[in-house]
Amino acid sequence: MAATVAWFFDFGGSDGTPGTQQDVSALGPPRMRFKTNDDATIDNVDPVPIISGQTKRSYWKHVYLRVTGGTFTQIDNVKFYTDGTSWGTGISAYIGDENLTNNQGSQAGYEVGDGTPGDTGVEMVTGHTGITARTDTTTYTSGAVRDITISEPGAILDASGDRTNYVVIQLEVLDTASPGNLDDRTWTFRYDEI
Amino acid sequence: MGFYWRAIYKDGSQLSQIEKNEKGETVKENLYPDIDRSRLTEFHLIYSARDIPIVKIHLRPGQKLIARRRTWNDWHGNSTVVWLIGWHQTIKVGWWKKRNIQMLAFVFPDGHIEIVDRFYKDHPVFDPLEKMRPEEL
Repeated sequence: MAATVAWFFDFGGSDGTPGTQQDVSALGPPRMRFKTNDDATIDNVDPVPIISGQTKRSYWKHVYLRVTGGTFTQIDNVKFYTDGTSWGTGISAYIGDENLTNNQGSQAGYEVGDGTPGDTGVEMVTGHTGITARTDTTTYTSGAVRDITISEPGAILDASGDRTNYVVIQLEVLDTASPGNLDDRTWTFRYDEI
Repeated sequence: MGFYWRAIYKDGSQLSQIEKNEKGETVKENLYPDIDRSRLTEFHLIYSARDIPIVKIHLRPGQKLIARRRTWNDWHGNSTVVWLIGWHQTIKVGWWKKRNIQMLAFVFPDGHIEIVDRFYKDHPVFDPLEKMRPEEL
């Protein structure tokens, strides 16, 4: 009666060929954890450390919306936004300004997360060739959404397995942050379907 | 509340998104492009649980139907659907000037309906959609 869709993120493998395409609905809650490693495990291993005089980051995540089934004609007009709430002093989640190629035929926009496990991920603008700038995710709210592009044929999602292009998201922690697990935040994909 | 659409043609026949048998079981699903717009006169949004229309759009010549399920899907797994049904039309406002006018009804999950006269860019709900070719004037 309608499309079924899910949040996914890719990890592992090699550039252009992710090792795993992870449906977050199979995880948690919580369903996504930013950590200093490139996996989908929801645990307390490889946290982002707080080190005096240093900035530390999670490994980046390639996030997207994917159709998993249903009867429908098409999905388009996809947007992303957050609840606009930050995690407090010294903690920010950044989203790359570019939408990177991701469709049933190609994951050319994917680059494997890099860094030092347990210490820090490589900063996305510096380390990801597809990202030239980044924006704090709290910039995007229900009244100021981020456009998400589609590189499937016709720039629509019209079959199971179809997916949006990637957005790349990374957590950054300054030495002014406080330790501990962070509260859940609500991030949303909005789309039109018929 | 769940909904589905039903298209009513000029000769009284209809095409329903969901076709059911005598037992109320879904036997077929039709798609939005299956609607024959050349014969369309009304478009209804049906409340699934009781199979009754809660919104009826009456279409006059020149008015093009627009319909969508606008969905919010958060990473916690929560999903909210607002149906948009309405029409748009180009009218003459002078000797050579034309203007696009719209009537849009947004049907919320609790059943309440909000009607607006156009899309509002960057509005959390009434943001513009991307028109499909059959919807273009």
